[in-house]
Amino acid sequence: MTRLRLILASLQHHARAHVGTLLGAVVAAAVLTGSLVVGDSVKRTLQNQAEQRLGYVQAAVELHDRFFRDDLAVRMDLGDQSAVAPILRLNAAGYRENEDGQVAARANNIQLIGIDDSFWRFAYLKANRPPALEEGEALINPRLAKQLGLQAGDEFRLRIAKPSVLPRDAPLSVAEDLTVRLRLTVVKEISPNSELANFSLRPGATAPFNVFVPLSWLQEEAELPERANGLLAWAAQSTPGELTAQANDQLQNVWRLADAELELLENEEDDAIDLRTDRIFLDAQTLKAANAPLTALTYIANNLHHGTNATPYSMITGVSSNFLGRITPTGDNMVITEWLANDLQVKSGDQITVDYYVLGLNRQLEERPHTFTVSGILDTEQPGWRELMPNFPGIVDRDNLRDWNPGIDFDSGRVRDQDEDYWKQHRGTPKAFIALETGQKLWANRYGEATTMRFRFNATDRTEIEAALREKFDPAQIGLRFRDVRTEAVAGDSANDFGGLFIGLSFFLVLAALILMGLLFVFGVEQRAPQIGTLLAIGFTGKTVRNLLLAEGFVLALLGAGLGAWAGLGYTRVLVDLLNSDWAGAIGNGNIIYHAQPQTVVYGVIGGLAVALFTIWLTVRKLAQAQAITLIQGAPAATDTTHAGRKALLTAAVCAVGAIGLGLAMKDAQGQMKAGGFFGAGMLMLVSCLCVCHAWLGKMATGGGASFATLGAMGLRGSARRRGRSLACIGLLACGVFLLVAVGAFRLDPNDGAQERWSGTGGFAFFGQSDVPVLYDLNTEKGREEMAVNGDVSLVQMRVREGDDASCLNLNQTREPRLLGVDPQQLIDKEAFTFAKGDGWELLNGTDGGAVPAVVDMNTGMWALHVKVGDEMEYPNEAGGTFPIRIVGFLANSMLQGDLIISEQNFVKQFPSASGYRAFLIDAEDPQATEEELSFALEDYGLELTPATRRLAEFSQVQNTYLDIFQALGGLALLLGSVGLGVVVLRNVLERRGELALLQAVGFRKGSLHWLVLAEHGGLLALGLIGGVASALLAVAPSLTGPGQGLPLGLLKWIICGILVSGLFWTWLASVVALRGRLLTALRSE
Amino acid sequence: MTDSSPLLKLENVSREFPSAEGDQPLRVLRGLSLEVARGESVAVVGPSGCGKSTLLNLIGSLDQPTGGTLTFDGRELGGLDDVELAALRNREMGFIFQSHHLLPQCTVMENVLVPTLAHRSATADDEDRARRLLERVGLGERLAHRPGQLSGGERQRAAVVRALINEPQLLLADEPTGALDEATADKLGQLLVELNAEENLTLITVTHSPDLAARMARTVKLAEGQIA
Repeated sequence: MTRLRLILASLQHHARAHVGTLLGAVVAAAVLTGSLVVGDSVKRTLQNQAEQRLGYVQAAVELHDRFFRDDLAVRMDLGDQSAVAPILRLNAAGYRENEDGQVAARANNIQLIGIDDSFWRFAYLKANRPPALEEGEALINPRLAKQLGLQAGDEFRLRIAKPSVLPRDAPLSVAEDLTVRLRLTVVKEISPNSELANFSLRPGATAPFNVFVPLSWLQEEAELPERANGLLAWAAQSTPGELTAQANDQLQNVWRLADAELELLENEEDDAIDLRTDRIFLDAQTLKAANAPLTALTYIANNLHHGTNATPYSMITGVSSNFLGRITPTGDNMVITEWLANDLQVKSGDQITVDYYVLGLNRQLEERPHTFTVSGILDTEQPGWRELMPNFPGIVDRDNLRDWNPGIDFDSGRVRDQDEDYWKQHRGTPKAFIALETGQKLWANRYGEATTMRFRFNATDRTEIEAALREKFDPAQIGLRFRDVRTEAVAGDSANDFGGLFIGLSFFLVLAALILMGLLFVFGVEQRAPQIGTLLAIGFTGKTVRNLLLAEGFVLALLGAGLGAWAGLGYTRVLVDLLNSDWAGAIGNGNIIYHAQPQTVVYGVIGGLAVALFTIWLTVRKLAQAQAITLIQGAPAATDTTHAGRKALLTAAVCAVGAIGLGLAMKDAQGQMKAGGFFGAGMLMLVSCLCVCHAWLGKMATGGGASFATLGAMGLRGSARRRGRSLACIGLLACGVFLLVAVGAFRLDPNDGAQERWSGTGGFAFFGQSDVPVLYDLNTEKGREEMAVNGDVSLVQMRVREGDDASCLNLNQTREPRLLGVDPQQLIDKEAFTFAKGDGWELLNGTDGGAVPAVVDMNTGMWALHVKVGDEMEYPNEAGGTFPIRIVGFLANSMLQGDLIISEQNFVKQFPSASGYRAFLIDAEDPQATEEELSFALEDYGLELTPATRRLAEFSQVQNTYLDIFQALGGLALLLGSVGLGVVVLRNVLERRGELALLQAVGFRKGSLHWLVLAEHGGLLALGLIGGVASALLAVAPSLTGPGQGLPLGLLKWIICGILVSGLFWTWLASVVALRGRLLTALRSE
Repeated sequence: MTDSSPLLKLENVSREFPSAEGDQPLRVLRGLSLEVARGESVAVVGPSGCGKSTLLNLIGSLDQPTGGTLTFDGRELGGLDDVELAALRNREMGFIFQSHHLLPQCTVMENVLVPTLAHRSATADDEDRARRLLERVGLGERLAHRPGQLSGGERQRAAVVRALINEPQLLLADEPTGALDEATADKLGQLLVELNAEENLTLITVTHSPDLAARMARTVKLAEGQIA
């Protein structure tokens, strides 16, 4: 005989009694394991998606608004078994026409990717040959094929924003021919698994719409010869991190000036070499790196006038101090050419006023004057002067001045014959020179502060200049930098720990299963009380007896955890199926693949075992302290109820004070801390309620000093007999009610006050996104005229820097969310949106600490970016570095989820090349008319209008679906809780059959006995409900003020009704079962 | 300890139980003194509520007195902790209750060996002794039977053997024949007396049965918490 034999014999003998315990452990372990495996499934899904969108790509260069030469890929050599491929990636909108020429299907936000053969080295090709692709042909991915209804051989159209080396917002850039239309024929719908159909360098909520075309053909169509804006790299022998470092080192050596749109032009006549750019303006970094002896900034003057004499459309050049030798102008002096002196009839000392345009943020032209004093007169033209005019588009290639088409208002009627003659003879030779500093004060802009840097031949040669420039200029400053796109992506890390999330969502189900398991186990142990007493009497210590019981419990828990883990895999499959169907809203309609990692299952077993064993330990820990003789007699151990009652009341008071204190302390907290704080306060209140119940039951157990006058009062007294059981019931019900009510309050109604400015829509009717940037302010008449928009529209335009989708719809972890630049004043004037934290849109104008202030939707901040107000994050800028962004405010439940919002002023400072506006918040009195008008006018811009309520509903759906999941699982748990109540009733009544029989013997009818049992347990039900609801209301109090939120009275009503009905049903059923048959027999057997 | 010293000595022992708030505590034993010699058999008798079982529980260290001292084999029980008391009960004492309290999941043999598991596993010697004792009480053919397959008398005899397995000095029996019919009770009474002699046991039995009390060498009568 051994202890093990004793344990096994007990398990075998009490097998039937242990079934309930085992089932409880199975449920708990199944839910735990299942939840963890959901995390595995999400991880594997994200890994699969990453493999599909990246293929073999390890590192990549991705330029947003700049281009480099595509042969840069050839210049790179990353060793054996490596590949570098150039791509040209452009945004496009597409449509398919039907036989009648009508648009049959549309798709926006398409990635049009120009590729050459080297691209296929990154695909997991199964065939020996990559898909063939000729000019005008396209390979498309399945999502686009489905959206447009395309198959091989079909034709479709794309419209792309015509790229421009010169940013569209730059002064003097031409805002015409902004789009290019392409007609393409589908060659094949390519495979996501083997042919990189879903290629993308950024993780998204869904697969992108992809079109692949020949690189050379796209370069030709987009008028970007030999240009690319992406590089992909892979090396078999390197990790992504190593490859990224190696590629960046090499980039530093192989890049050329042309990759930065810089060129050195030799002017032998003047013995000079000019550094220029097709972007017109040389930025500060280039100026610093080049450090040329001569610097010039040439601009167009609309008018130069002196008195009534005026000369239109002339070049003026600001020059550095040594450019013209001694007579180089300073301050507001101007050196003019002889031709201009004659034309304006001026001499030294006279004043000339220059009228010039400056371009506002949205191409608003403002003409400004500046008056100069003539300080010298030079020849009309000297060698090297005409080369000072940069290649202004619409000007440089025109034979006649009257044919100019600059990016400013141009009145050819003002051009005189002598102006035309000058243009023919001297082209863009400046007619006047001013000090560089003065010129920069007037015309420098975010794109640069000079147009030419000039080196002298005799001082150096071209090779030396280029070498010096390449040495000092970091290509990363223009974004030419590889980044590791693979490591994080294939790690499959999601924005949130889905395993943990589902454990949280299933928490109450686990808790209910454990409480039920604990109750059933303790019932089994209580039945064996005399045996346990005997063991104590014959010399077993309390600890030994407890360990024997724990060992039994361990076997049950282990068995339950094992079976539960197995069952948990089924539970995961059900959850995954639901996430891919009814609960798809929670994961942005992604397609989750079921996957279980063996170690996760092991964790599930360990977790299930631990919680089950802990529960069993809680139930038996006091049993072993009971007196042997008491147990032998089969009576529950008597406790000092007075003392216990005082302790409970003291705990209740401490918890209540804690709850109130925590509530007050968290009043001004924010985000997760506030929600957590109030949830904690609610929980403390719940504990307080349970302690009060504990004390009350204790008082009832001793009679409370009063005798009972009614059957109901007698029933209530009965509920105090087994306080542990009664409290378990109250706690189970209260916890369930608490969680369901508290969670229900977070349900969002997107239509709540949708027309109001404070709502999540900001009161806007539509959220618009365009593929082609809109360069004008549509709120102005001029802007509407330029864009051919009829009628008034009122909208807030926002600049866009593409980034990761950080909304709740994207499961991936995101580092660089999309950035929006907005004029805060417009939102201030409209008082749009509600701030959950922060004092409004004025915050975006702040300059605290040098960081750029940003506002973000609270959900995005908390769950996707994991930031709180006051946090700073680094964000890459156009110059290749990063800039700090400080979160200054959280928007409450807004349709601006997924984006970081900064001021337009800060935006253009960091992203000078990002032209125009691509996101719009649109007001509409007549939504249908506005939608029709804007859609028609901006059709070429690929404008997609989404009703604001629909956009908000899509975001709200994520939160609401999680609430659905929680409540569905919580409902299951409450069902278990109700079953638990039934089990307790059954047990209580069975234990007291003799006592009830006695009541029947003295004249009570059976109906009265049922009423007695119902009163006894109905009281527990009522206490559970009251405690749960009261605590929940405290927990959700701060959340009831957000847009779309409020006290869920309807839900509350249903939850209370449901629990009451369910609880009373189980109580009634248990009392019927326990009181059936002849009770008096029980009396005789007493 | 010398053989002449009493195995058990109670001096002025009292036991009170707390009552509802404000009431006087319930005094069950009131300054009781008693000595029991080694090998002696004592019957404790008296009316219901006089404190017989309470006295037995105190002697068996299942309960602690609220006053006085209780010395067993020269050791004062009040000075021992729970673990020492458990060891004492396991090695020096045997218990027989009115109900047998055999473990239904174990065979007769296993039930008898259960006390050996309190501090170690059962040895071959234990099993030999169990078998011998069970044969002695007439259960030699019932070793592999479970309690549910035995008669009331057989169960109680198995309980007696369980009490003797660790060769205790003192056997405490609380109404051992209370749940048995007259004939069976008679046989069990006889068995207890024989074992008292054979095993050199000190036997204290609480009983309402005059027949059983008559078989004991000495009878102690309790009334209102004191020896009458």
